[in-house]
Amino acid sequence: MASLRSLTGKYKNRKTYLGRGRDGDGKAFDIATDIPIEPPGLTPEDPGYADAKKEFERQALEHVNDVEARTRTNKANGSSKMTEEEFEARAKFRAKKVLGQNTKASFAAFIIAWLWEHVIRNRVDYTKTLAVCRLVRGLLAITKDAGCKTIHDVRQIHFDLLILRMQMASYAPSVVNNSVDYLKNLGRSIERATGNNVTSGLAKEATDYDERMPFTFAEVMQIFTTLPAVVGDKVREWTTFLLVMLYTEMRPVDAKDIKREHIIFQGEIGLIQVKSSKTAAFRRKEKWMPMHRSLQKHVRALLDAHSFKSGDFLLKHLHHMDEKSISNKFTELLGVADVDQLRNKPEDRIKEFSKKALYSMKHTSCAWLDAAGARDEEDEHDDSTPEAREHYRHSVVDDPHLLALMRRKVNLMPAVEVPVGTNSPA
Amino acid sequence: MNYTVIHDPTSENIGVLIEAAREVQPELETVIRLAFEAGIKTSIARHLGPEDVVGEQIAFQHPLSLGPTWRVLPESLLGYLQKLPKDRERFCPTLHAMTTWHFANAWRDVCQHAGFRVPMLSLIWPYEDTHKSTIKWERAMSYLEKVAAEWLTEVELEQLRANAKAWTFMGSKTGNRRRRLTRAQILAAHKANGTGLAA
Repeated sequence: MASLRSLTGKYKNRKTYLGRGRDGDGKAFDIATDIPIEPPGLTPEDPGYADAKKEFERQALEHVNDVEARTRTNKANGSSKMTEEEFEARAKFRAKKVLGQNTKASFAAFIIAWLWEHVIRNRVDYTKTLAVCRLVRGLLAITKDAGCKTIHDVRQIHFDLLILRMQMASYAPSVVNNSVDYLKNLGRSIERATGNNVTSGLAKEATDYDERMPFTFAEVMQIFTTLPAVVGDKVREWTTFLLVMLYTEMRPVDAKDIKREHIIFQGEIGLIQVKSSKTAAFRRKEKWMPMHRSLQKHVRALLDAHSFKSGDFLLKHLHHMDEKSISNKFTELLGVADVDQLRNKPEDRIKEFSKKALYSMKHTSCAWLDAAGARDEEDEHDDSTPEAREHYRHSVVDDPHLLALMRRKVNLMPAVEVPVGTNSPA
Repeated sequence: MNYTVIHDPTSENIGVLIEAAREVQPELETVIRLAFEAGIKTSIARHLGPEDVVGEQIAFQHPLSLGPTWRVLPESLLGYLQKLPKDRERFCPTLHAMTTWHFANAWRDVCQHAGFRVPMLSLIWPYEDTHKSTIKWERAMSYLEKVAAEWLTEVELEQLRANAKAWTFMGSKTGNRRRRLTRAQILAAHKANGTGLAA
């Protein structure tokens, strides 16, 4: 009989169960399983935690027993004591046994239970709830017409038909794609219970969004050349503001609110704290990046000329302007600079590009950072737990080698050489 | 409709309006309290009755929602509603029978008696401001209830509701544990633990 490794010593940090078995010659071998030790989505305080944990342990033990049995051979004919078919059947039976209650339930009960659990546990917003409810209603209507009694009766064609109907009814591709995501999630639940992959035929449509084109380098230079004529004595603030957007990917609302404390210098290298108001709820962390030499020159001159205190805003006028006013002023600037603001629609796009505006500075920045290879892609790991967030936080502030590398990459972006202004920010 | 809010629905103003309602149209006190303390629109509150109160909750049909909305009543309001006569079908039979403009005129008379005018519309604003997330969550739940009532049997529905109580306490299925609990979920946890903070 195989057994499970006790979770002590070198196995105490394991996330999944590890089994131990002996083959026909009595030689011990380890059996790795993908059955988690801690029930996912549950904490020790949750009701049902103990039962779920026990159930996982039992499943793991059965699994390692089966794997061990597969390695034993009959001495008479040399074949395995457990055939592949039997092994598969036992695995399926195990799955059915675990979800015995669900498999007996009607399809409506199963799918609505999935819907409720999904909404309640994930605290889904009411607008999205309404959308998923409509989706579930559509699926239930199709399965009812097809005479499905339990989840074993539901087939891939039912899911395909629902999506096809949505596509035929001229729903936007993004709406259909969201539905595909929800149905795939439901499909995984059904597959766990029945072994049938009912959503394998669903695929997302190619889509694109309302986007802005970035400015060309020539247009950027034209903007900075025209700036003094439009903003008058605020040229220094505007120059700094636009350079911050251009070299940090910050949005206008964040770039106008930079404070003294968001700038630090480590020797000759200046760092700026990058803010993201749009994703603040998800990514609350301090993210510093080295300043491009063109930006650093302006910021350094600004700091030398004025004694800012820690909480002071560097752009005092712009900070007090609302985003709409700043945007309007910038549009006026684009008019004077004779920058093409027309919308255009390339042949293969579904939607046309929006006309160029202040926000295009951010898109320009994205394009430049991409070209320089300086995009920070670590954020993709940053949406699970505080521990994971801490684990993936590679701060350039603490690491001089990383800082030097980042700075070299940032400086690969095109340099906008604008003379440093001298007028007061106050 | 044009209206100007000169007087806010503050606790003091509501107190004065309730006093005026007792003299002009006593049934309006119920409507005012349901609107101010439970955030139920006056146009809905005037049609509610004892049968809509189940335990400490009241069920009503919000015009923007598909299913019934269940709202937890504050103790003071619950006590008040329980003291109202139970032999009637509605809490406010007179107001229930009124046409919209008669109802508006009744409110106008109360405001005239009180000496200032508070738009009926604004009575629910304090509740809405303080219970934004709870109201949204109630709407989400009303959609779920509607779908479940359409497709499930009574037994299945009861089983589902029993499971839903456990899901309320569980973390996110998708692993995003930083997603905040709603106000209703936080209060439900306190009520279950008997901490006394839920009141």
